[in-house]
Amino acid sequence: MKRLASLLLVALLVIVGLWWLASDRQAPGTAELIATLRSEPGSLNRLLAVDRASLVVSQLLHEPLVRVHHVTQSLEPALAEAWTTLDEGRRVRLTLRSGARFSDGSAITADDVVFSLAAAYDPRVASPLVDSLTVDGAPLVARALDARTLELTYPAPYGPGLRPLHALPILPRSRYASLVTDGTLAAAWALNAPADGMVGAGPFVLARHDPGVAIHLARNPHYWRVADEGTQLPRVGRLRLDIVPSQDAEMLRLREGQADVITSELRADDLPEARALAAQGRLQLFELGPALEADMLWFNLRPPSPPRTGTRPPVDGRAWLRSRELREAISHAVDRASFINAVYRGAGVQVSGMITPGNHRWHASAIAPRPYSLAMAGELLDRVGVRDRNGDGVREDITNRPAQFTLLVQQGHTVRRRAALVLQDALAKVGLRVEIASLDARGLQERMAAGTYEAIYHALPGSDTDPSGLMEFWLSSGRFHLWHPGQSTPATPWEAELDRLMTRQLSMTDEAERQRTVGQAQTLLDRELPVIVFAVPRVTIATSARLTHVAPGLLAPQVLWNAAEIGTR
Amino acid sequence: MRRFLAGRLAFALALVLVAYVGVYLLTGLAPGDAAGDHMGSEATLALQRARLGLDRPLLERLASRLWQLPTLDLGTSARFGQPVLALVAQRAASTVQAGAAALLLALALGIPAGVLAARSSSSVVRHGIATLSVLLLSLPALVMALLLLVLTSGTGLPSLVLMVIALALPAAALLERLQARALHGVLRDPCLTAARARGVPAAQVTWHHAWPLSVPAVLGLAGVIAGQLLSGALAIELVAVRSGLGLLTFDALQARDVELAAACAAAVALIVSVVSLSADALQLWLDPRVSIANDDAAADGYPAR
Amino acid sequence: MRPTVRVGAWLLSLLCLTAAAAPWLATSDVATQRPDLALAPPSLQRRVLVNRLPPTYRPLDAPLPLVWFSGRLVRSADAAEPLLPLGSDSLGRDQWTRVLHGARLSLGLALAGLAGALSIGTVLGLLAGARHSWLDSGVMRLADLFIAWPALYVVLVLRATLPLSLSFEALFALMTLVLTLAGWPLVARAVRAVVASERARESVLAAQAAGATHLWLLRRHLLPAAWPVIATQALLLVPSFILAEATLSFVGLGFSEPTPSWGTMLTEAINPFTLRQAPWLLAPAAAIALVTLSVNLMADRHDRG
Repeated sequence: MKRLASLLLVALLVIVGLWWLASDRQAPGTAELIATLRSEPGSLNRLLAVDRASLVVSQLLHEPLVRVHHVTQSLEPALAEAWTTLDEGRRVRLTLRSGARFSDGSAITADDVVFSLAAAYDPRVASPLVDSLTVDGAPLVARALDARTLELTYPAPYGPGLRPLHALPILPRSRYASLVTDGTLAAAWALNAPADGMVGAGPFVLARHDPGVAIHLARNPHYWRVADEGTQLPRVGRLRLDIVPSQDAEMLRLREGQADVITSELRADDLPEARALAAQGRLQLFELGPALEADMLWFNLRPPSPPRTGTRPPVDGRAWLRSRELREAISHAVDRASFINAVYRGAGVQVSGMITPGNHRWHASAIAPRPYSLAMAGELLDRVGVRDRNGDGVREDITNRPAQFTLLVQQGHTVRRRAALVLQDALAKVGLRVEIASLDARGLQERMAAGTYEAIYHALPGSDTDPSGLMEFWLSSGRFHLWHPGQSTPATPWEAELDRLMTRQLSMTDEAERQRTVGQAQTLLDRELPVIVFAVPRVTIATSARLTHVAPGLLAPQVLWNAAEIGTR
Repeated sequence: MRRFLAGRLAFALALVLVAYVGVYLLTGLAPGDAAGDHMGSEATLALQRARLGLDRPLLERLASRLWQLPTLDLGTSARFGQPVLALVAQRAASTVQAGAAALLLALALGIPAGVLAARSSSSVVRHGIATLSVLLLSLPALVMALLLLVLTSGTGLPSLVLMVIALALPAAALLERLQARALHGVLRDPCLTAARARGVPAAQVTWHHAWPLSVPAVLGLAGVIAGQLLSGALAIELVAVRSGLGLLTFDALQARDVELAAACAAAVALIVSVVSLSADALQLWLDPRVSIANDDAAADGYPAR
Repeated sequence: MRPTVRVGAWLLSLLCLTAAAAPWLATSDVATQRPDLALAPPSLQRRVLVNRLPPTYRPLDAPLPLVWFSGRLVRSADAAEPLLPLGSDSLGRDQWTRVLHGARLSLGLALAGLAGALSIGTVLGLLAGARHSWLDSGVMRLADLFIAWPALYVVLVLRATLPLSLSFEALFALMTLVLTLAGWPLVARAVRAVVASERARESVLAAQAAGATHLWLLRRHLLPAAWPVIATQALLLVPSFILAEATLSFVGLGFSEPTPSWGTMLTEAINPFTLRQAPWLLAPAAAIALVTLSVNLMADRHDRG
């Protein structure tokens, strides 16, 4: 009896199992654009979250006043049809497009823009966009003149002008004003919230969410944009975003034709296969030149805590770690051509500053990287007292301890780890011993903020090409002033100069003058070398061959930024 | 039996609570927190922390969370913006689904193979199965998952099948070894000799008499195996592209999302406890000789006394 | 000894000997990077780099000049072009040398972890099984807790709190501690099971009636009965410890470069690109498989053949 019961139980379980297996097959999509995301977005509203997935989906669901064209990297009209600047840039009058509607059919009025801007500043929303929309510590003031015209007042002349507004999604006041007051705006735009509660002006709307698997978007019938030949955009009726956690898996899907667009550019290792597939006509490749963001090496330049009064300060054997000569020596000691070969398999470009040639408008091309010279590196190190006193091939500092430091990299990041190994090898040739330690991203950030590290090889979080998006890096009081964040007053004269230059460029309304000033800031960085940049990879984007009107750019999201224009054959 | 079950259930709940509190504290004490992933200023960061509730001290947050636990309010995930309970439940269901299928496959493959390996008259079959098992056990799970991925990349197999096979094969090999060893252990039992003397055919002796005697021994470790299968494996989830508990826990920890990480750890502890409890209960039901006091004596092939 | 056990023992001794003789058997050193020889397949001919993407080499007609028994067993006489018996990795380092030196680290760590897990597990298992008391259920529940605990994630969070650069000894000790804490519950469960069933034996009851002390019983009756189980558990733990070292390196608790270990080498190599373009990078997986195979063969004492 027991045996029969157990047999029946097993049979039942097997049948249930097979049924589960069968029901899990996904139906193949027809005439939909399939893209991938590395993780589920934290929020579908750009006002609330800044992880990469949120950025991608927000751009698909929302429309701002002005848009950054990711290829030309310049500003172009979106919901705002035209604008005029008055009062030397202190006031801007914008005209909204006529007939522009939200996804629920209601008209977009200037009042909605005023509301959206106010929501960005609301402390209950705690939007990360606040800093980019704050000038001289004061917010922008918007005033609706009529249903289609509004006036923006800046507290001070602002160089970037309307640029920061490219991140602001326009939301209907009628729906969301009460949610902002309640503090429930985040819940309404969470991934599991009902789709009819999410109203935006973007090309797509949320149709369905398969938890952990995919996000299904459908065309917004009220989207304003029309193609050059008159077709109503977006061209595709459906867009599916699959959650694919690793780039290997994304490449696999791209290869099999199960994905049209992947999250980021191709890695060097994937290039040969991608080129072969492009030759067969299954993929289309786009070469975009040097990447926008560079990995940087920097040292902890915080001065050591002052000694107790009355005691004689001990001889600081580690002072050489904070010297400019060390950084110059490192820049001389690394053969950049060999670095590119080892780290990027030859598909890379030498750069001399953190604003790379990929940033068309702001890159200072006059600055040349330092020549590869072990002799010069050695001489610079000798100058700070770091020389090989006992002939063992490793230099010693003035207290006769071996000249070594710990380099921190993000764990799991293949390219940065490889670069750290190449640096370790290169610096060993000059007699410096480097030890590599790896930490996860948050731990690394914490150490950078607390100053409990010696050297880090990492990059800044992605941002817009305009330097106004990087003020936390440029200013000595900034959180991301990597080598010495959060200073109350600039610790060195050159940092004070940098502060002065970058603060001034914010208020210059003349573009050419701004470029000159930012160029001066880059020259200053090159002279003092607080961050050392070696090379950046060449960016290659791959999409499936059946897509038309693809215009990839270096800014993220590289392909989906103009998802409305993309069509399928 | 009832007292045994009640005791083990109470322990399971205690384990879940300990896992929750432990991981909550660990993640909260780790450097870094859930806010601050962007190029904002200190003031913006402070506002964000306030919105996420991160400005209160860790112990206070834990206390208020524990107070709300009976209502199953596990808070909102700072990383994903969704309610924690729904998120974990959905991922756990997906993981258990794949794990259960893998367990069934492993049992269906491993148990018969183990019996064959012990009792087959053909030495080719016996050695062949043993070699295959040892080989399968020797490959690191990561390598096997990758091999499977490359082998099946041409076919249109869904990721679930890949994950199930990658999980099931090593477990099947382990079960096969356990079963073979357990069957050897009961071979000298007098009731088997008596059955053979009565003229019962060899196959019937094996399946009807010997195998049921060996089941308790297998069940002991099978519970541990089942628990591991059902609680998710990060590496395999990455390779098979399946959003399960392993990946969710990893994401939560990377992002220092305290509420989510603690809930994931509690879910894993719950699954493992329930599975091992079921295995032990099943053992008791099948073999009344196992005294309740010696509840773990039947592990590892040693029949209880 | 059964033939399989003998084969397993020979294989394991061979592997250990190879690891011990690593400096002599290596063909180069672990750290030298040669970007112009990146991802080069094993070859006895000289070759020249043709293309970096994908790494392709054109073999020249000239064989590599080899020199035997001068400092090493065999090496290339040309310092610029080394002998690469197992090819090179993405930075042009000799894979064979790195696998050899990694063997010392991986095997050494596994043995150290084994020593810790065995000693603590045996002591606790003996104590738990010798007397049915609160100690018994306490130790077993503690073991359950350790099994259900998400150890990997704890290590990840722990790594962020530790000082950045740990000395080799400190790191080794820390990893041994982690392995010990992960391994003792399994040993304790197995030992407790056999001891609990042994103490009901007539011989033990007779000894007790004759007035034997607990220590006597432990030493003379229970411990000898537990040896086979301890040995089996030991042999099963070795491969899982080697794989655990790989996982620990993945979360950042690993030896710093350029010290090679099978774990770090594997994690770099586990992707479809490697499988297609540079399969020799999976040599650490083969090495781990060999160690696991030999250990499983040795543990397989019940094979009828």
